[in-house]
Amino acid sequence: MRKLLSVVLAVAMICALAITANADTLDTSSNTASKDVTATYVAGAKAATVYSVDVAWGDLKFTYTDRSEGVWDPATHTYSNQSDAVWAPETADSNKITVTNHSNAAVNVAFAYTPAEGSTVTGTFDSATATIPAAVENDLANAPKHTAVLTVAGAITESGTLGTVTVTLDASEEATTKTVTFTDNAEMSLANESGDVYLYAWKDADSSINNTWPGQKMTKGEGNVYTFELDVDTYDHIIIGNGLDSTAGGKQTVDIDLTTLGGNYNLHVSGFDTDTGKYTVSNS
Amino acid sequence: MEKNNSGSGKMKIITAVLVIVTLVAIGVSVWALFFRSDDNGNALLAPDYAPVSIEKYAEDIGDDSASKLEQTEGGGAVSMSYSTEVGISLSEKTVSLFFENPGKSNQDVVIQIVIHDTVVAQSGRITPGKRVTMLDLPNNMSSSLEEGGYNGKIVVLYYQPENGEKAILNTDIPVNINVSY
Repeated sequence: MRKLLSVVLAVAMICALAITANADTLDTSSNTASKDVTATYVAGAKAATVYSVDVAWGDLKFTYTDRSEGVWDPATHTYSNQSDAVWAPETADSNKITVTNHSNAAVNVAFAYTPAEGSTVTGTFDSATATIPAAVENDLANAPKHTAVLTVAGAITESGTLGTVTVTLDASEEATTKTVTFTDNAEMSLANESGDVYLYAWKDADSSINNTWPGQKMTKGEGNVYTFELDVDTYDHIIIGNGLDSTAGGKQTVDIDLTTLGGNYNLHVSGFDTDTGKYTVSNS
Repeated sequence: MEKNNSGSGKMKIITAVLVIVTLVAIGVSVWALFFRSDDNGNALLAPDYAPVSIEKYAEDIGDDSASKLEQTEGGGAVSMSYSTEVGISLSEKTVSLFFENPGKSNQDVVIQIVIHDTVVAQSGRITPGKRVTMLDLPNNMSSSLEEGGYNGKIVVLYYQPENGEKAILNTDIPVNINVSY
């Protein structure tokens, strides 16, 4: 009995000493093990909006030349060489106001003229309102700007202050949906036999896509122009192609980084990259 | 005896009249100092010439090396950086904001905080290269504003540094103003 108990205990100890491995999958045929590599995505902090704007204006001086009676001709009792009253800016830049946006957000600008007390002179701007896009990263020399030209009308009988100009700078809720226009050409056409062109969009940071490959069909317009309404907040890269698999005559552009296009998306095929077998594009 | 009684009676009347006059004078003075409102309800008007005094809360931005903006003769060119959020503390009697007149500007600046066409605060002169993050709130405004959010604006007025002459162009910046105690 004692021996039997000892054997049982010994077996139990041996079993307790066994180490169980559960983590890896062991492929006994090839003596390999595999384990998933995982990562947790943490979105980066969004930059705060910084508003920075330049406003430059001319001297806002005008000359009013009143109506000229002309020259009296006693022979005919008439005046000749008469001229109407006219307003003219002192210099070519006198009546121009330019707003330059250095902000990382769009700015709505509005120009308004208010007559001085007692003045009947009116003022209008050729382009009284505009949305100036956000400044583009690493492109200080080409900061977006807008220029408005002031024109005045009415009559005065003496020199003086006509009025004041107010430039209003308002934060803009810039539309996130932009129109991507692609103009195909016959020599390097991306359209398939049905005349269709596809747009595949994705966002680098989270790999969200507009649709599985080859993406969504673009809208065909006049001639060989195709358009697509794209949410540029959700996607920052696109590929334009004919929607076919590479083994079935598929054609596509290189990866297009929307953030480098300055807010306008008018794309044309510009060449063919023989290394990648993909078409390059230009933006106008 | 009769003459003395009559004299003391007169003294009492005179004393009473003097006390009443004194009280009325004190009352008028108190009203004039603390309760009288200005014309149109506006405590502050945009100066036609730049105030001599520099804004006391102006700080150096530290961009003295920046080259000046191009401007046409007789015109102006100014750069500004700003926040569209403004805070007003009724207890501290201060306005919290962010406004910079960078060194590349060619104009001095005076800024006004405006709510419903009323100027509630106004800065001194802000020269190029200066930043303002706080302004004083006048006493009458701290007693007339209520807690809450307002759609207001920052009005930016420009002045020639050489002669202080006010430009005939100004800038409005719509801002959100939060008034709290």
